[in-house]
Amino acid sequence: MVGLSAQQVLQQRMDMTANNLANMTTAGFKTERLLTRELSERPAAAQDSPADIAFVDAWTLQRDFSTGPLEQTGNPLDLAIEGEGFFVVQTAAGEAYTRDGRFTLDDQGRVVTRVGEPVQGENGPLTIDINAGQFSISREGTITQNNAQLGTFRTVAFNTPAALEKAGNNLWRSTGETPRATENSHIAPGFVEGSNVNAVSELTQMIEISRAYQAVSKLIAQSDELRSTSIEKLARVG
Amino acid sequence: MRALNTAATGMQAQQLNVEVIANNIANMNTTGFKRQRAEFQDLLYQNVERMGVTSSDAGTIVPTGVQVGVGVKAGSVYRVTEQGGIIQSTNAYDVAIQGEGYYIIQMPDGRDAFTRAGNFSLAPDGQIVTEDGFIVAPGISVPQEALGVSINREGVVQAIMPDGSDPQDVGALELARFVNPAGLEAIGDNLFLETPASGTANRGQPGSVGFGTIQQGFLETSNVNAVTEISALITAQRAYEMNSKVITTTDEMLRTASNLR
Repeated sequence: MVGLSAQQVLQQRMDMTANNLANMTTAGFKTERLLTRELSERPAAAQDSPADIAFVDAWTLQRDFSTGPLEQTGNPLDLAIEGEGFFVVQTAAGEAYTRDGRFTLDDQGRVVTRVGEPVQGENGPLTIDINAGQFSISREGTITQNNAQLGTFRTVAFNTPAALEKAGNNLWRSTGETPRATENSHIAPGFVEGSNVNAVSELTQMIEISRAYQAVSKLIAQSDELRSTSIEKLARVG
Repeated sequence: MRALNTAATGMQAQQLNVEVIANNIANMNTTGFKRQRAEFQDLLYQNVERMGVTSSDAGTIVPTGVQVGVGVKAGSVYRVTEQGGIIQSTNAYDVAIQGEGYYIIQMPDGRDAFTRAGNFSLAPDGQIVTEDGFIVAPGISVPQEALGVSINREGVVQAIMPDGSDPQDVGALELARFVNPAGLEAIGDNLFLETPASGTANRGQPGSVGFGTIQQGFLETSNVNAVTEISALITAQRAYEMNSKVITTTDEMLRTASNLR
């Protein structure tokens, strides 16, 4: 049974590594690892029971929030956050947060994500009238057009970003913590933040997982053999 | 095992990526072509242990929980509408747009299409048309006897007459702008159609506020950068390979499991 618990956890780790590698080119993606823990249980024997048996259990996620590589795109509405923080997106299910700053304008001139959900500024949604001339975005996230400030992108941070829930579509949701304003981070206009998945470390993870899986399988096979020979021998005595 | 499917989504995504890059490279010398970029998003997550749930009667909560993702999907194929290079040509009807805007083309089916490719010519009846013979809005006829035309920065077309009189105004090219040009639908032949995502066309005179100017005797090249595309191709190919390694490894793990008995 210990072997089985190990195999289940190894499968989950493999699933996670596969997801990391599949998202190697997803903007703003953050690498995840599964942390495991030991679950000690006393076996059911009545007396003189042997030592506790330690099972393996999927415990928690470790997320690497380091900034991914910034790639220059030449699109003025591609924004990357250098440092901590997230952009705020208004979705049907409430506020969501994202590091994927590939924005665009919808037919009403609102700044939206690729899915079409409006991006929040400090004072509500941001709107740009492209017929009024060129606009620019500053390091602080302020949109300026014809020397007039149209608004500032709202960026927020969390004290425990690891507690955020991933919602797909490069969005994250809060699980209770109220976001605070960002500190020490700024916006890089014309850049997109790549995924921070490190292919080499994922591949070595994968090798380690598959070898561990084989080793555990061998363990299970051997203990099975042990049991069958002991049953055979005991039966002969009887 | 989810890993098999997850890696399959990764391979599909990289395949799309390679297809988009291939199209960019194939159109490296297409007048007015705008390069495209495949963009990806992560798929939904399965909650194994939900973050934020209570872990004991004392009210402690699970800080981070366990979520397993199931892969990646193509979010969009985005068109980068950055200005391409401007190269000189000797044709008087080659007109490049410097700045924002699209030429309006009257399609044979009555719809309006839009293009950045300004390699026009004259139809037998003197109309300015595209290479496919579609009329360039608003429809400009150059007199048969004209020696040549001059098109200024504001798109005004003047015919130069053989009798030495002053050049004659025969019309002016119009441009259209969109709130979200990346939302235009490409229909091939360098043409685009308006969609609900692009917003309705806002027509205007070249050189007016927000609109680009016209350069006669020049063509806009594609904005594909060979080096960027090749390096993107390498990344995509490696990412494809790594996802296929995930499938092999998962397969090996499954084989190990099935060899148990």
